[in-house]
Order: sequence, then C-alpha cells, then structure tokens
Amino acid sequence: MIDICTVSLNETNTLKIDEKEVMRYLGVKELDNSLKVMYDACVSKAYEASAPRAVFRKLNISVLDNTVDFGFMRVNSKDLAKNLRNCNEAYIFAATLGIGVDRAFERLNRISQAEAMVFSAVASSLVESFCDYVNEQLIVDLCARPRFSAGYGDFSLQHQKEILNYLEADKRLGICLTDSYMMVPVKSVTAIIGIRS
Amino acid sequence: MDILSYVEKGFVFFDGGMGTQLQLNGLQPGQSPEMWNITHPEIITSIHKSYFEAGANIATTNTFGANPLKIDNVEEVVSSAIENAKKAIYKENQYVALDIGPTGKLLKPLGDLSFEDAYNAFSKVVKAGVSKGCDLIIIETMNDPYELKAAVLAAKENSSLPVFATFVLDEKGKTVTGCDIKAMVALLEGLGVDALGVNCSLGADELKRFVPELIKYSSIPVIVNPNAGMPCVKEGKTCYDSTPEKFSKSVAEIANMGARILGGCCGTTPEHIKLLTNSLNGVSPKSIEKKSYTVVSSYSTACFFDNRVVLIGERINPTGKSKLKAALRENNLNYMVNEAIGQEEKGAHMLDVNVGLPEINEEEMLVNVIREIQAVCTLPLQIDTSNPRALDSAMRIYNGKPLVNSVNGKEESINSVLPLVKKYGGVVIALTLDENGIPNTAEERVEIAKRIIERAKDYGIDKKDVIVDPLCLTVSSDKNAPSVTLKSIELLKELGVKVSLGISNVSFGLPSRDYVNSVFFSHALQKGLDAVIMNPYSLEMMKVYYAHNALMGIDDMCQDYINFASNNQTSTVSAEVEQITLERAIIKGLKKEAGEITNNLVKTKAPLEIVNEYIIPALDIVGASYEKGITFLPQLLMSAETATVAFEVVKENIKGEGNTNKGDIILATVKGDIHDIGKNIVKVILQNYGYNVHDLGKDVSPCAILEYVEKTGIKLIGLSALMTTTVPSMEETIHLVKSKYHDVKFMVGGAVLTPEYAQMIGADNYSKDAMEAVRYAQEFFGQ
Repeated sequence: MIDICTVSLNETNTLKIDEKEVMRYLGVKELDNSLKVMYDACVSKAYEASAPRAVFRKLNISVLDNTVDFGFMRVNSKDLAKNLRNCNEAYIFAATLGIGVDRAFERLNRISQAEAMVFSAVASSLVESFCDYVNEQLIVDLCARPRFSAGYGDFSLQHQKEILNYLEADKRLGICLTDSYMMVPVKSVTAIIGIRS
Repeated sequence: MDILSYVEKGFVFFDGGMGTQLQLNGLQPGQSPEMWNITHPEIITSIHKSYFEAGANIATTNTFGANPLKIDNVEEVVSSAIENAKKAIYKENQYVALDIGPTGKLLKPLGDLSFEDAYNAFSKVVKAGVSKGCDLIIIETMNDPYELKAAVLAAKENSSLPVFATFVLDEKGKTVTGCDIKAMVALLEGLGVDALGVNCSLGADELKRFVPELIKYSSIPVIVNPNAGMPCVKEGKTCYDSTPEKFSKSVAEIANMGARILGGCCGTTPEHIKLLTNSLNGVSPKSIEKKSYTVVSSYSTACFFDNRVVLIGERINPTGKSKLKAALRENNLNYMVNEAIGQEEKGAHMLDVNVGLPEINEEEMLVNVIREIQAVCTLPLQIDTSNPRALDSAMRIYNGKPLVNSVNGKEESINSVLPLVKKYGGVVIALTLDENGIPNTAEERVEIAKRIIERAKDYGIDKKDVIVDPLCLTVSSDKNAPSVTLKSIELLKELGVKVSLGISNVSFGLPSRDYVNSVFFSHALQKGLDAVIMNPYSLEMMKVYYAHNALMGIDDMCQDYINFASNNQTSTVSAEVEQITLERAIIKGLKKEAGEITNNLVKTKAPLEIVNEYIIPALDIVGASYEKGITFLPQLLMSAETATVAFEVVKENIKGEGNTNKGDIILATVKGDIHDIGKNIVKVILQNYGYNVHDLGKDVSPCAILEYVEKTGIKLIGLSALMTTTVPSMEETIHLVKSKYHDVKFMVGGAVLTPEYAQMIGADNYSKDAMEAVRYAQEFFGQ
C-alpha cells in the first residue's frame, strides 16, 4: 500500500486548456463572438470547479504474445501488448478533476445545454492537460511509451475495475465505477505508461 | 466497563494498519484481505493480538471491504472476522470494533447507487456484526457525507451499539467530495454518533493542522487515526519517510490539542502504536467541551446562525405562485431547480422548500425536489412541510443537517416533529402558537416558546437546535401586530434563544409591500433577529441586509456592501441593443438582448406575429445552416436557448390564446446511463419546434417507460444511450414497450449507436442529431 503516490495540484490554472482541441471536441471550426464569450466563462468555471488529483504505482510487467501480466491482473489485448512490447516495467495511474466538475456540469445541464456542452469539452481538455502534467512527473530520464487506457482498441473496459481497485482510486481520489463501467467523477482517466529498460 | 465509559476516563487507542501487516504475512496485490478471515484466521488473530500488546484498546475487524456490493459472503466474512478479533482479547478494556468501509460506489444523483441500496448494504454488515457480539461500530475512511449518513443510519437502526465515524480529508481540509470539516461535524453530531474524527489519506503531521477545527466544533470525543506518513516520489522512486518515532510524536501533539481517541491507519504498525501509547502514558487528556453553535449543513458547507442574519429564500413555496403550482402538477422539477439556483445567485444563504399542494403526493415530491436541488446547489435547505410522513422521508434522504420548518406548541405537532428532529439531526423552527391560536402578547408567545424548548429537551434536543419564530401578523388588520413581534424578539433574545421570522406576511394587503417588509426587517435586525425567510429577488430587502451588516461592523471593510452596490447600479438599455433585430439576436445566441427586444416588441406587435415573423424564420436560418455544416451544435443550441427566452416573453403575453402543441413525445436516457446531455439537447430543439416533451430523465428503467406510455398513451419515444454497456437497456425497453403497444415508434440516438445497430435493436429511426429527431417527429405527426 505504501508504494501508492498521490499527485495533487492547487493552482489549476497552471494547466493549459487547448482551445483548438476544445473546438475539435465541439465540432466547430471557429469560436465566433458569442461562442467565445461562453468559452471564456466555461474556462474560468472549469478552473474553479477542478481539484486535480492523481495516484500512480510503478510495477513490473511481462508481455508474452498478446497477453500482458501486471501481477494483479492479466490482460489479453493485442493493442496493449503492442504498446508495451519490450517493456518490463510500467506506471499505472488514475487522474481526476474531482466531483466539483460533475456538479458544475449538472448545474449547467439544467440551465443551458449549449454552455453545458462547451463546459464539458473544456473540462475534457483540462483533464488531458492534467494527465500530461502527471506524465511529465513520471517519465524523467526514462524511455516511456505513450499512455494507453482501458477502452482503447481491444483493451477491454472491464479492466477498469481491477485498475481502480489496485490504485485504491475510490479511497484516494473518490473515483467510482457505475454498473456500466463509467467512471465518476466523469472527467477521470486511468492509463498505463510502459517503460523500456 | 463499556467503551463509552472508558472514553470518558481517558485516552483510548485504536490499532494501526491491517493491510500492511497482511502484506508482510504474504497477502498478494489484488487478493481480497477479507477472505483471509476465513483462510488464515490465526494470522488475523495474531495481528490483532500484536496491536493489543502494543497498548491498543480497540481491535478493528478485518472487514473494511466486507460489503455486499463488493463480496458475496458478507455474513461469513464478518462472523469469522469478529471471532478472530475476539480471540485476541486477553485483558480488560480491550474491545472489538466492527469495521465498516465505503461501498466503493458513488451515490445518486452523481453516481448510480441509491441511498436506500447503500443503507441496505450497510445494514447487512451491521446485522452480521451485531449477531456475533462486537462492542462498537467504526465507520471509517468515508469520502462522501451522504454515504456516511446511510452507514450511520444503518448502524443506529440495526443495533444499539456505540457508533464511531471517521472521514478522510485532503490537504485542503475537505473530503474529495468537497465537504468541509464544519459540515461533517454538524451532520455526524446531528445523527447522534458517539465519537467522530478523521483517518487515512494524510500522515499525522499533515492532519495535525485540521485537528483544532475538529475540536472547536465538536461536542463529542474526537478520533484521529492518521497514516504513517505521506508517500512521495523522488527522482522516479517511491519514498515513505515516516518512522514510528516521528508518528508517535505527532500524534501525541494531536492528543494535546484535545483529540481523545487515537490510533493509526495505512502503513502504521504495532511499533507505531506502542510508541504512541507509551508517549501518552500518564498524560491526562483535555476535557471535552459542549459547544453552543446553532448550525445546519448541506453536503459541502455549514451555515451558522451567529452574528450575520441568515437569509432563507422563500420562493420554492406554491402559496400564491401559479407558475410553481403548474410546475408541481406537471412534475417539472427543473423549474424548482432554477428557482434554487436563482436564489443562490441573488445571495440567499439557505432555501426553504415547500411543495405542499392538495392534488399531488407531497411525500414523493418533496423527496424528489430535495434530491434535484442537492444535485446542483450547495445551499443548506429548510424542509417546510406540515405532513409528518413527508418530513420523515425528506429528512432521511437530505444530504446534511437540515433546518425543519416547523414545530408549534400543539401536542400533536410536538409529538410528531420532535422525534424526527432528534433521530435525523436538525435544527427546528418553533412557531409560537398552540391549541389556542396565536397569543396577542409577546409574553404569552415567549411562554409557548419556553414550553417547546422544554419539550425538545425531553426528547434530547438542545436549546441551540431550536430557533423560535414569534410570528408576524398583518399590519393592515392590526396596527399593533408588528410591535408585538418586535417585543417578542427582544424577550426571546434575553433568554438566549435564536430567532427567525417569516417577514413578508406583515405587509399583506398593502401596495408596494417591499417598502414595508424591508423597514420591518431593519427593525427586527435591531432587535437581534438571527434568520429571516424572505424573497432574495427583493432589492429593498437586500439593501437593508447589506447596509445593516456594513453599519454594524460585521462586513469587513464594507466589501460585501460595495460588491452588492456596484452590481445593482441602475442601467438603461444600451443603444446598441436597439439596433439589432430579434432575428439577429437569436441567430447570434444573445439571450439577454433577445429578452429585452421581445419585451419591447410585445408592446407593438401581436404575439403570434412575433413568433411567425421573427422567431421561426431565425430558427429556420440556424437550422438550415446547421444542416449544411456552416454552423455547429453549440451555436444551434445557443440559438435554440435564445429563442426559448423570446418564446417565454411571448407566452406571457398570449395567455390562453389557443393551443400551439404540435405533438407529445417521451424522451429518456436508458437504464444504466447517468449522463443525459444528449437527451437534453434533443429536448431543447424539439421544444423549440413546438413539441410537448415529456422528459423522464436519466437512468430510466424499461418498466418506468412502459408505465408512462400506459398512463399517457403517447406514441413517439426518443431514447438515448451513451455507453456500449447500456445499449442492451435500450433494446430491452423497445422490446418491452412494443410487445404491448405495436404502434409506438422509437427514435434512438447516442454516441455509440449507428443506423445498423439501431435497426438491429428494433428502433424505428436512428437520429444522428437533434435536427434529425425533429425531422422524424415532423414525419411521424404528418407535418
């Protein structure tokens, strides 16, 4: 248990929100005046509502054909095995913006669908940015693979449960799974980062 | 000696971590620690014993994850766990605490576990523990006050054992669900736990700075069970630098601050506990002082009745409000939620919630409205009902410690309301009336107040948890009424009682009631009023509030007053607004401007002209450019919402001028899906096109949809599913409804659906977006 590490961030606005990426999530080509006003409002709401927090563990893994053995779980996935080829260690982490973002979203969801949609896109960009930040903390001097998450390719979403349990993510971050394998808080990510020796 | 008497005498020590010890004994990551109760009972007993030998008084059973939502054989695990712990006892004053951890699920509305299911899960654990003879129950490592409430109720309703409860703080001193210490203390003391405190997450050094706040607000023993330290990463390596020596030193400091019950959590070992008990040997603990705060709470913050008057928003009450009445009849919860958000934004500190209408089921409605409001609004609520059953259900599911409106001097009221206030915890408003009505003199009203306070004491409710409302009658029918009320406030304050007042009644029957209300409010404030039920939209009332605080020195540097004043400078409609047309405002999504322009237009144009000449053409332009890929969904929605604002203004001016409903449609997000933005988007657009949408919400079971079809006879249903895992619910719904009603049509949508998939599950139409749903509805209704 003692090898689980927590990362939290007080100054949320040091995380970058990528306007281009938000536009892509929204499916728009430009932010016209009124959309830009809404976007700016959502950016400050997202910073305010977020309490970014992550946990990670480092562990030994072994990759054989299409199976990856993490010790606490075995994953049959061609895509994950490919991503982790030649890795004998990995970081496994969970990151979240916290339940405040869900509350802020639900509030907008009852007032303005347009703003709720923009807010959700902004928060998605923010959680990605937080994952990048966590990533940077982990991979100093190491040859790391791009992060890979349950639900990508043939890496089954069902493994989310084992990953969250292993990281004690409910206790440490308040991340829970619904019966349909959706994470709450909704702006949460789990991922694996392979390390090549 | 029982554990509570032992706590009164001096320090009591919990044990340390179980997980670390199990790992030392060979438990592998991913293995269930709880199963070891059955497979390795000797090891579990020996761990408990090593803690007892280190000086711990309480063995926490190895049942942290023993919850029916996580494992199947709860009874078996709990029984063996208690047996294993009991076997370790070898002398007096060693106790076994049934350990209850969180379910691992988040409760509704943000998660998918219902409060009742959480309660039932915890009840099962409690019953198993009680039957095996544990000495107390420790509910620990809780992140969510709502889940904690379910667990405490389960413990108290299924046992008569002492209940201890601890929660987890982050480095900002809040739970990860955003609840602060004051709100947690209010909730737990209200529920009547025997000791409360914090555990896990932080090390003793980090937790230390939050202990004074816990002590300051608690009237019961405080528990502190920190981790061994904070794990950290240095140069890619995990470090964990706390030693038993450092730990015991820090926890001893925590004891000196006034914590009474101490122990360890993750990473702590018998060595930690041994050094801790040794270091406090011969030290006498600080006494536990009773506090006199009058406080209510929500799921995140507490509201104190102290030097600042508490503003309680009165607008969620159907009396005299036809729109709210209509919303209640139509089950339009969104209306109440918007009232809540609006009042919060206007500066209310709490909200009164009254949904009493003769033709609706008040118990059900009150529960639903409170849940909806608590999904999005952080203010504590005042539960306002005269129906004891509704009060019981509402207090049970309320997330926090509520204010109850109200009890009065009648026997019937006292006997039905006060037991509930005691059971669930709450502050109650006591009205000074009884079987003989409202007395005419202040002295007689105070007598009734005294009587209610006495009776509350008999029920175990402190004087601090009773706020008296001496009632104010209408000045237009009795010129002396206001002075009797003011005199009552004065007398009550002399008795050290908190006073609240529903202010608006005083001006009943008079013109410009705000003027009278606000001056009366000012007089009442002078007498020391603690809370007022009022309309936060009333500028006159808010002026008094902010000016009073500034003048009385309770608004530091007059900051609140300055903010208030600068936000309320009278502004005239800007010249710019005059220049843009309604059509353009809708296309550009300018809500405020659209409202203002429409308000001007209705003076000169007939309502239907506005709709046909401005609103519909604007929507058509936006709709067409959306379909051509020139504008995109966010802009379409902004325009739709802007059109809604204009529609609302027009509607107010139509007043019964024919029916514009183009057809009834049911919309729902299917069972298992707890996110519903897709459905809500479709709803807004369909409403814009004149359809009457019956929104059944999210996570809706197939049966509920069938029942609604049976009740209403609606023939078009739109379903949304977000996850591949919930598409089967969609299929089940379609089959269930179609098996009984062949002529009902389904349009379906959602991120994971495709036209092929939609056809496969039996849907009649795949709507790739909201406009497609409109087209299908038009086709369906032959328009």
